[in-house]
Amino acid sequence: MWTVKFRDGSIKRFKFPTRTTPEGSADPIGGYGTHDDLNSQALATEPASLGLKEVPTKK
Amino acid sequence: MANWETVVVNTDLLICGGGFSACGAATEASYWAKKKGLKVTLVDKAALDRSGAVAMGLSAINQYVGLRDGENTTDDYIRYVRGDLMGISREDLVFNIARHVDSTVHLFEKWGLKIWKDEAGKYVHEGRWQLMINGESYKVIIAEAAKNAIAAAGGEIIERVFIVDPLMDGNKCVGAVGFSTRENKFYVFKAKAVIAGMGGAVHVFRPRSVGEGFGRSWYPPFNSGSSAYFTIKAGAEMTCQEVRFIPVRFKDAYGPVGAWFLLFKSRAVSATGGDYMVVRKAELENWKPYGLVKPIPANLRNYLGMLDTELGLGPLYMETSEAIQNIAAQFKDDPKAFKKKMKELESEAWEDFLDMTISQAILWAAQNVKPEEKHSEIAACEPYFIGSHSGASGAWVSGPEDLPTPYKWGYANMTTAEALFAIGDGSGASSHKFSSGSHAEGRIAGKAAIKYIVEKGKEPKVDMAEVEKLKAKILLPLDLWDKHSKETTDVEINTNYILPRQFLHRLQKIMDEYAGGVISGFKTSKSLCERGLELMALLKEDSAKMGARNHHELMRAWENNQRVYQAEAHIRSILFREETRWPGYYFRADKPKMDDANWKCFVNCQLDPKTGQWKMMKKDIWTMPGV
Repeated sequence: MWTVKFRDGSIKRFKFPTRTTPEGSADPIGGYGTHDDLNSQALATEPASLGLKEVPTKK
Repeated sequence: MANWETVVVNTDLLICGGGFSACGAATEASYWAKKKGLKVTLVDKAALDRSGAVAMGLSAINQYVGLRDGENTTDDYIRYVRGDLMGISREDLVFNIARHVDSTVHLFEKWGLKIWKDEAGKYVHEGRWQLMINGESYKVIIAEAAKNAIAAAGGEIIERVFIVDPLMDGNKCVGAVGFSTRENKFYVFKAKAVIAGMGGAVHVFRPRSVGEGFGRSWYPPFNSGSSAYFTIKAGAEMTCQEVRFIPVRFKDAYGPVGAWFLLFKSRAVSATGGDYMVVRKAELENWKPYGLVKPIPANLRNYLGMLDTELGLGPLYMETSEAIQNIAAQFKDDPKAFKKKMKELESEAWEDFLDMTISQAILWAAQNVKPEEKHSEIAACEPYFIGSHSGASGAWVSGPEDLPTPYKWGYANMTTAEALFAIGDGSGASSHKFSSGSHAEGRIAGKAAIKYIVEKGKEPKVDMAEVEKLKAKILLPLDLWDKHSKETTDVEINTNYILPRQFLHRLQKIMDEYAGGVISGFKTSKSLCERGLELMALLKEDSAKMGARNHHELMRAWENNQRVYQAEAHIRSILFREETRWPGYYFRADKPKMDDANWKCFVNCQLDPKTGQWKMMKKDIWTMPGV
């Protein structure tokens, strides 16, 4: 809870979310499928974590 | 010499830095390192949870392309950055980050970052590329994933160790040296590859908010040019060292304006009530073709406001109450809904600051400002070196292998020094990465560095005699203090040393007065730059005479040295580029126009580690075919 006290004595309180998961629980691969091609342009969790069929490239 | 233990750490991949780009590198590299039985070591001068430019949090993610929903394309992003940087960008690097950044954002969401969503469950956009977040714990979450990744791969995180210099074997980077900011320990890191992700540079120039500017964050006062220093000392080619970034922010406490302009659609007006973006619009014609792109380049938006303030038409005000009233007006016939909407808007306005720049919330409280009742001043801040934002400075790095770019030499994000990679604010000419793009760039380099180690990695050859010399040099400020501090009646005034705070004042004054800081209205010239370099030469002599009372002050001394290297690269690059291309960031008063015929190119530079001579050079812009 944030408490903001103004010069004129008025007070405001605000509460904002900070995270949606329990502390410590972040899974580095985010539950996405991974691969083991060190030579491809796809990073570990891609293309699944991109939400695409493949990593974009330029022909 | 101060009697400090030397601690030697052997590793495969050394990640210098603990911010967003370094955490991205750690997260990705750990995955591949585990498969290949390699060790990853990350070194942060602070504690990973709350370190770097995002320590205190952010209110928005500023780079999300939206490829999965077809919102935008990577080509759109390339065009955006090309325009915003007045034609100067590495389009291969921008493409590489733009194609990977969405997966970084989706991972952030899985890890626990709360991204605002609408009733349909879609991300709420602040602007075309920007998403709103509840970001108070943004860094904590991203650091957590990096910590978990490193732990799963049997790597290590070393906190509160300040990296100073690279270790080189010819043109190959074989590690780094640094020191603990808590214990009497000098660290020697030996590695097969090194990633420089130690942030950009602030406080090279005197802040407009003198005094107050030393403490508040965003932009972080603790980013001291560590990456630039490291890659410059390694002899790596640097780029865009002339391209500083000056943000326009809420005045004095530097609160962000993005949500006000983009989300709340607020106007900013001069004291006479004119909207400078409208009143000064004709000026944009003088900067074609970039003056005519949409969105208007950041430096040109600054410039239009400066045209008003230079004529004494300030203060400039963000019309916050007008913006809020306009949004709530749709509910004006329903008092209950109106009141609810006003409360919502008030909460969003305060969260914008509390998530990211608490000092602005404090200033509002101190001045009794309620945004729904009263407007607030905005002003240009001072110059920063932040290649991840709307600046561009950083090391010159290799592009991705799958593009026909002329600028690739084997491994994505490797500098021209072998085995040394640069990411985030440490990597140049790839502007508009922000937090998410820097993390994505870190991931790119993390994988590339492991690939390099697998294919080319060799046991690092480190000359320990050279290391002993470096140790003596790095700890010297402590010795100077010990030896001389009792020689005068005031420890801050001594002919044998200068304290880091005093040194910083001198550096900031030189930059402010000669290199186009606030006091100069961001104007400089050949004559001013040359005089600045004269004074800088004297300052550099005195840099060997900083005194330090303790670990913290020793860090401050070396942060200053890092800033000096950034400062010199900056002045030399401003001198070399004989035009004004980014009015609103800086003006060459002696070359006030843009000269595309001669200067639509990169300005690169390189310091020869053996001779101490700077080499300045032009490099051609390569544009993505068909974009």
